Amino acid sequence: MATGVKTRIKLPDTAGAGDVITIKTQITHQMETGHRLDSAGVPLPRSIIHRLHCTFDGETVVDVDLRPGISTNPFFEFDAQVTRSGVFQFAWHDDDGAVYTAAKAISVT
Amino acid sequence: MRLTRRTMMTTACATWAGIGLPARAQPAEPDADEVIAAFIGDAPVRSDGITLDLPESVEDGYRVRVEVDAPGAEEVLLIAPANPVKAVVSVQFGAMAVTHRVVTRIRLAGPQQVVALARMPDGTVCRKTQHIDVLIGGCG
Repeated sequence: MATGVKTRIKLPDTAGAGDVITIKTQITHQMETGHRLDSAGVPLPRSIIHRLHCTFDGETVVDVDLRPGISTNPFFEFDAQVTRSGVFQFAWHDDDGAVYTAAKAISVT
Repeated sequence: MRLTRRTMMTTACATWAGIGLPARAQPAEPDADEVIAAFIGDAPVRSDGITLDLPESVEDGYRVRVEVDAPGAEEVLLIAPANPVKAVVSVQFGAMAVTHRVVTRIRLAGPQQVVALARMPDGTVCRKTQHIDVLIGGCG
């Protein structure tokens, strides 16, 4: 498991029913492409976050399939229409099997 | 250093050796046309219905902001044909993602025609291509 992984979520605390909100996510990760060589000329093995799954009370908002072409510290921004209060959950899946999670509640009035 | 035919040949050979070595060490990646064909299948392709927002030119290919906007799309796929791995990212939208918009940051190995594809609920595929100049490649 990679060390010092930090996740960051940005979405409003409150919204009106039917509002479209913007969600920003980032995770600290080196996203080693598998195409770089170390000083001895040996390829560094691929080690990336390959999936980001965002759900709202179990329902998929976006399901992202990441490849090595995504930059270090993967950032994603997307929108969601909210009709009721609930919890956004985020899961980042690492090549090494680790799953990093974060959650943030929104209150819809 | 004086530029002679000899130094040019030596440099060219060394460059090819450098390129050839890691290429052999990697398993074969599908080329961009294969990736695009696999996504499209036999669906009709149209050029409207999708916007691809990325800069015309960047100095640094390590971190390029890209926005794909495909109203109504079920899934979008971004392809960088000059990268070692052509498919960069694909996104599936759930019912709540009503704008079908996604922003991310990608690596680009060099100047190229970036392709965005979107699968629509009516079975068509929207396609948008945009050229970007990259001064320093971001896949090294």
